[in-house]
Amino acid sequence: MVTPDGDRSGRRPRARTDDRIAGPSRGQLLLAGAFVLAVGIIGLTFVLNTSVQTNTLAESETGIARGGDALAARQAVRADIGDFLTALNRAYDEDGGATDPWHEYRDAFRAGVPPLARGVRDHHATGGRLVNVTAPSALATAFEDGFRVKQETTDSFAKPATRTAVDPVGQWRVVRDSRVRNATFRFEREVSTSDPAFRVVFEESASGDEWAIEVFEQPTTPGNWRLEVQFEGSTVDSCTGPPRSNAVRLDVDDARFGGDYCPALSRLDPEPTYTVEFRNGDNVRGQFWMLVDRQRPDGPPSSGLPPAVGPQVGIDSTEYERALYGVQVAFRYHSSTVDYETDLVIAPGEI
Amino acid sequence: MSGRGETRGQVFTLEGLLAAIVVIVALVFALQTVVVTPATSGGSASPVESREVDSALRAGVSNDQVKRATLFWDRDTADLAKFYNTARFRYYTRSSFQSGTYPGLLIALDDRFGSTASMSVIVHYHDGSGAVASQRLVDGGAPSEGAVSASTTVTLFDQDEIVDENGAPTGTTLADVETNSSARFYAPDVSSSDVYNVLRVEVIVW
Repeated sequence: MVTPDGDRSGRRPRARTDDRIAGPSRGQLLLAGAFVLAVGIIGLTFVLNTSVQTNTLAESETGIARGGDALAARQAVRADIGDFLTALNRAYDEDGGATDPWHEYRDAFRAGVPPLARGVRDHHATGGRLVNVTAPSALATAFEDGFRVKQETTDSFAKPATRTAVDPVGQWRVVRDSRVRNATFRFEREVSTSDPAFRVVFEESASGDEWAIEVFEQPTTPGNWRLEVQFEGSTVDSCTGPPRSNAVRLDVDDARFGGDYCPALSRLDPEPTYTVEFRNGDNVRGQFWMLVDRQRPDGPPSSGLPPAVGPQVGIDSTEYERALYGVQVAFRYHSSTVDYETDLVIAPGEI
Repeated sequence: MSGRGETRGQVFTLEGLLAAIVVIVALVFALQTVVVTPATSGGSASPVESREVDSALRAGVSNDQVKRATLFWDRDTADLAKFYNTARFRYYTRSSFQSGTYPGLLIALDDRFGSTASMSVIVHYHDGSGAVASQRLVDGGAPSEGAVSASTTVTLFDQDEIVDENGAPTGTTLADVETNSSARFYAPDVSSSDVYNVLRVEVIVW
C-alpha cells in the first residue's frame, strides 16, 4: 500500500531539502562556503589594512605636506627680520643732516636682506623647499619710520620741562595718535605711597576709550610692587611684582612685571592709534623706552608745537632718536604640495 | 551499499579538510598582513612624534632659546674654541642637561624628551666659500631607524653678542670675534652687511 506521505515500505520520505544537500552537492556547498568565508576574511583584511595604512601615513606625514613647515619657516623669518630690526636700531644713529634722516637704517636693511634670504634659501633647499624673502622696492610700503622715545637716566616721570619746578606737572603726553612697540619701564621707587599712583594711559584716537597701567608700591610691610590694568577707570586685572625695596622692570608687550609673566598685561588691548599719556608722573622715578611709529611725515619732533600741526612725538618734550619702527617683506614658500606667498609686516613687540 | 557509503564519507572528509585548509590559509594570510601593515613605512616605532620635536623647537624660537644656544660659545685656557662646559670635544656628548650652565634650549629639550629618548642637535652654517658646513652642539650617537627631526633657521647679526655660561650677553659681538685674531667662532661672517651668517639648527630625537 502506498500512503500519500510514504513510500511503498511505508517509511516517510526525507525532506526535499535534505535531498538537495545529500551526496557530493553537500561537499561542494561546504567548499563554496569556505571560499566565500575566505574571500570575506581577505576582503576585511584589505579594508582594515587600508584603514591602518591611511592612519599610519597620516601620522607619519611630515609638516611639509600639511603646510606646518611653511608656517614654521614664516615664523623663523619673522623672528629673524625682527632681530634684524633690533640690531639695526642698536647699531645706527640718526643722521639729522641728511635729506632722508632714516636712510642709514633703510640702506642697512636693504643690504642685509639678500644675504639673509640667500642663507634661508640654501638651508631650506636641502629639504626640497624654496623659501625666499625680498624687500619691496617702494620705500613707502617697505619701511615704517619711527622714533625711540626714552628717558635713559633715572629721574621723575613728570613733564621734563617742569621737573625742577616746585610743583612738577605729572600729567603730560609722551606720544600722540601713534602706535607703540617695545615699551619698557624701569621703576626705581614711588615718591609717596599716599599720593595717587603713576599711570601710563593709552587713549584710543577713534573712540576716546582709555586703557591704563597703574604701578604702585603696596604700603603694607613688607610691601611689593603692584600693577593694575584698567579700562575706562575700572580695574580689569592685576598682578604683584617683587619687593618694593628693589627696582622693578615692566615689559608691556612681553607681559612681564619684575621678570615674571603678568597675565594682567595680556589683557591690555588699546586699538591703534592712541595717545600715550603719563599721569601722576611726579610720583615715581625711573627710566623708560618705547618705539613709536611716525604717523605723519612732518619732520623731526620739537617741543612747543600745537598738537594739531606738530609731530606726534615730543609734544611735551622728551628725549628721542630716529629708529625703524617696522618693515614689510615679501615671503615665498614653495614645496611639492604647498605654495604660500604673503607679505609680512614686522614690528616686533607691538602693543 | 556499505562500500558506496564509505566512499561518500571519505569524499566528505576530504572536502571538509579542503574547506578547512582554505579557511585557515585565508586566516593566516589575513593575520600576517595585519601584523605587517604598521611597519609598512619601514620604520620602527619612535618614542616621540615628529610634531612634538617641531613644537619644542618652535617654542625655542619664540623665546629666543635657539639663538642663544648657537651663541653659547667659549674659548678656554687651552685656546680651544668650543661650547661652554664641553669636555673632550667642542660639543656636548651627554644626554642630560639639568643645570643652568647649559643652553636653555637643551635643558628644555631634555625636560621634554630626556627621560624617554636620545637626541642630537646640529648647527648648519655657511662657510667662507658659501657651502653649508655643520657644527655639532649635542652628539647623542647614531640615530636609530625611527629617528625624527625638526629644524629652523636662525640669522646671526654682527651686533649679536656671545653669551656666557649663564646665558647672559658677554659684550663681545660677533663682529669683535671676527676682527680679533685670537678669538674664534665656528661660523664665519659671510656678508659685508650687518648679517653675519644664517644658521639652521636641526634637532634629531630617537
